[in-house]
Amino acid sequence: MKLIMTLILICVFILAAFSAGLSGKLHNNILLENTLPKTRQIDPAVLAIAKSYRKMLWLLATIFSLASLALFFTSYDSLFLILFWSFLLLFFSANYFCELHFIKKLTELLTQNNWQLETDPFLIDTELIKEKNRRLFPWQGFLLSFLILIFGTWYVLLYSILSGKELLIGANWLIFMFFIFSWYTIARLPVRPVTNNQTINRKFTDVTRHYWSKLFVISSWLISLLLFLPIITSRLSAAQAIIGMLIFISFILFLLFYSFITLFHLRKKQDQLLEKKERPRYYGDDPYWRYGVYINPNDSRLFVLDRKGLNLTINLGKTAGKILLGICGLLITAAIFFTVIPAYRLDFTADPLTASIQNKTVSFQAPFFSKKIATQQIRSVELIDQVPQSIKKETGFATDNYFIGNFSVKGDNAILLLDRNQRPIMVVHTNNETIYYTAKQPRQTLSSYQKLSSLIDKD
Amino acid sequence: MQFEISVHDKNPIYKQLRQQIIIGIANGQLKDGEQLPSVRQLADELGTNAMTISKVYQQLKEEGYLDTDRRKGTTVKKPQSFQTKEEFSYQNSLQLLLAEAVLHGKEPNTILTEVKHCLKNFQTGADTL
Repeated sequence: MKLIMTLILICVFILAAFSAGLSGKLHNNILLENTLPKTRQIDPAVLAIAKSYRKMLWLLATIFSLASLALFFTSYDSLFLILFWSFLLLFFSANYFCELHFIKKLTELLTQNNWQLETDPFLIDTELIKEKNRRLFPWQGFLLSFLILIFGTWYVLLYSILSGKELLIGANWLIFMFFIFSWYTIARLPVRPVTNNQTINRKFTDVTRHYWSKLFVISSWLISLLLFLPIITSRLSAAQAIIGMLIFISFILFLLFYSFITLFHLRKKQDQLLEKKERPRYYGDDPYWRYGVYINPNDSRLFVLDRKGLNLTINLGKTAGKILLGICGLLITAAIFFTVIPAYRLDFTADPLTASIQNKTVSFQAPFFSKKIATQQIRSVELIDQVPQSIKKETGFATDNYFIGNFSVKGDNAILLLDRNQRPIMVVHTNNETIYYTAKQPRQTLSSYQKLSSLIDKD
Repeated sequence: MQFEISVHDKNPIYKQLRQQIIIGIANGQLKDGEQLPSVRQLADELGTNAMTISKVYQQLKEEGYLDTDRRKGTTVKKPQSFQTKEEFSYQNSLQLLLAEAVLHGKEPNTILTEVKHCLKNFQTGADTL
């Protein structure tokens, strides 16, 4: 797990540096959130700032990638996770402040030299506005993902024993609605002609809407499949499940590459259209992007395209935008909390894993997990010395040191509350599932085994 | 038809829009029966409330420049001749405009030349209507 997560972290740093670096490359006459007149776009001072920005991003990515190698030397899961989250948050904070610094630097350069463009009035092209969505990928494309979701929902409700499956189904439908909403956002985007040339404006509008709408429709197909695939493969044998997992990973990679290549291609097409010496139209938007995010209380839109051309971003000038940002912050905080806290309790508290017997009920407790079973349901109890083979996690916590949650062992339902470094392991066979349990101390495991065995013998 | 609307202009957006549409009809850029963008499309474009655009379209409809239809949307219409009240309003506006021009030092001949130039464009537009 350490290797995979460390590699993921390093990949994130590299991708982020590359992606953020696109702000430092001219696109739609904009560089580092500043719109430049044609005559200044190759000015040495401007290019120097852009180059320094990109260099700094890669320096940050390199430093953090090297620092993250320290993750290999953590023996505690909680320390690993704390470091993991810390590196991630620190990196993105550093990236953000780096971007702010260079945006400010370029703005100052333009101001000092009086290179800023005058604000143009809105150019209204009535024909273009009426036909702005003529190349929009049709909404009927969503029917395929809708059908996949219907089938997937039916299948999961009928055949899956996964706990929390209703939540998973709900999340899938929510994501589907998000894609439809994003497609609609693209359809509602204003034209905002970028030049005074009608032909260029028309082509620019067509490619922008076509690529973005196609991306959302095709992504919805892939995501619909992606989200049900693990549930479907959980019913397969271990060998088949590996193939299922490979297909799953391939889908994710394909989706990522497809998204990136599509938008990168769009960027290139847009820049080719604007290569001609047409004077760019400037609508006075630069101050709204001063902080690297869009803050415009006067704009009624909640979602806008970012200036790199790779993302839909939120208008933080609107109350709804601030609320959405707050929700994102809460989700990240919750993710950190629900990963670090159980790991910390497992590593540093005396009895994180307990099995207690009271009123003919056995209670197994672990951080954020509990299971109660009536003693009558227990068929047998035994001790084993080896962690079972062919384990697949369904929900819960699986690290180098612990297995906590719902798993399947050799295709059968199982609950694992295991410290993987402890022996023996108590195995409780019930009518519905098998429970594998260890305490932090072997003598506690033995004590639980003895109590449970004598209780079963009495029954 | 292409025209410009400035948010920094002393005239509010709805006034500018009304003026541009009327001028567009007069100089033939907007033809009789031509469909205009919908209220929502124009509101999205200008970043303004749909009510503002709706107000403009409604006013132009009452003045006889536009027509609305459920299927075709908002279309350009060749207006009728001035009614008495409209004639009176037109005369007042003309008087005010000319008074401003004279007070700001424009010679009558210059004004007449400029008027002829405008009318020439509008005449071409009237022919196409």
